[in-house]
Amino acid sequence: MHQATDFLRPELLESFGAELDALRDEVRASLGEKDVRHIRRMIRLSYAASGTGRALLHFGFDLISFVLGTGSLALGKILENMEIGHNVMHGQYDWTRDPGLQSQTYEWDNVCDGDNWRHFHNYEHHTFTNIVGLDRDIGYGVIRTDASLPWKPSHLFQPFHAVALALMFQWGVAAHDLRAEEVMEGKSTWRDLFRRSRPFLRKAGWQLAKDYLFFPAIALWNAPRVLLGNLLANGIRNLWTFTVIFCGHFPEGTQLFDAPAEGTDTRGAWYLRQILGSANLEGGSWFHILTGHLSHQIEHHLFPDIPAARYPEMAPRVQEICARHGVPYNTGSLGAQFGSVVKRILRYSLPGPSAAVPVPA
Amino acid sequence: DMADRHTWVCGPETFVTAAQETWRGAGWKTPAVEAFVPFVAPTSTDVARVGVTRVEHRISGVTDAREGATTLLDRAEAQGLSPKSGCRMGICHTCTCRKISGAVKDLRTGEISSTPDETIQLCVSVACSDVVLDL
Repeated sequence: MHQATDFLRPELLESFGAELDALRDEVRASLGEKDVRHIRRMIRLSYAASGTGRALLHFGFDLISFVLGTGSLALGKILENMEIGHNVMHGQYDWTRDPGLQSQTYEWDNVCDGDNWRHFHNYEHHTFTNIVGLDRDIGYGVIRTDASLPWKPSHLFQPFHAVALALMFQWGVAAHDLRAEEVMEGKSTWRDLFRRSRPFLRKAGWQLAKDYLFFPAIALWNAPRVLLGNLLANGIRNLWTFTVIFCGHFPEGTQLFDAPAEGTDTRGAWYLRQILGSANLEGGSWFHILTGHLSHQIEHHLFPDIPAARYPEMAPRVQEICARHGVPYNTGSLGAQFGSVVKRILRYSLPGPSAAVPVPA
Repeated sequence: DMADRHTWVCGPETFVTAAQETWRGAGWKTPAVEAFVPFVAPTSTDVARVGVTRVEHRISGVTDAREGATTLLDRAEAQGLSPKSGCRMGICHTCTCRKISGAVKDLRTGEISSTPDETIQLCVSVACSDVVLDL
């Protein structure tokens, strides 16, 4: 396993950190009306898509309106989860002082409870990114994503686990902060687990009631159609978010790390680890919006609380800083990146290391 | 004949401070300042020269008095409080808290803010004057 600092000459580390800090400060100072207009436009779009979708499901009778309704609702949920929810909860719009855009109180249209998410994503994942033993997002605990991770017989089934996780992704995300594996490992009791689960159970109960009781019920004779449409819309959102998120940290070339020694995780070292552990997706502006700008996973990990719509303009600057410092920048098409993720999931379901990625000289 | 003129200044804090400095530098009569809410100016923009600052935690009734660049999070914890916190490096926003009044410096950007009733991140904020927190 490596330290991030293995990948950059020590004398360059400080300027690397300083230049990225300067880029962050420059963009932060320029935040204003344009950014507020963007997020409000996204919110209107999400409501319009969800509202249209639910109306088509509720009032329609034919297959076409079912397909369009399900698709429109899926689009609304994708926008709300990715471009709006994830980004608002990161604190990207706290500076607006708009009570509807505050990171610590925002609740998203997802069975995952907001406080749980803020804890395991904003804090744990973003601080300890790709550090084995500390970042619980690595393979989500069930998938072996790298040759350096030890193989267990259960990994033979990981292609199936991956498909199941993809279909039920919002449930995997929601249960992530419960740390259920600690009960199996004897570090926690069932009673503790149940106590920890209360926010999740409350949120999930609310979401289930909303999508599978309330909206079907008010559609009267159209209840089965609405229920099925909502289920499929949630499933489409799950598959899309799984795909985008798995492309963020698992394509070929992304690195895992040992915990850095006390005092060595300087600004530059932290930025370096974020870059080496992340990968970007290329595409047009609407593609980026649909991914909630997680297509710019590298920029997101460098600057998690800068409004994500700014990442595309920051990316060339980040690439230039990386190029000058000899730091690799992992980017590719959705097909290429996801293809490499699938290959790795299949490859590492079998035991044995492959040739370790060499550390650049 | 600027030296003979009376001046009244009202506006955003940075504007008012800039105007006061300009007038002071030029030797003109000190402008009269209007503010809807009194803001506490920083004692100094250099934290090392600020001296002892008192951080009052209004809800718990505890006050921490010390000098130096200890973060507001560390100071609250030194008084036995346990505000929500996470990364302790300013990225996760778990430690966001309302600052009722006072001037604080953001350790990441060097910016100083005296805006009253402002949300700040405790782990990267250092007091530059007496501060009151909603904690």
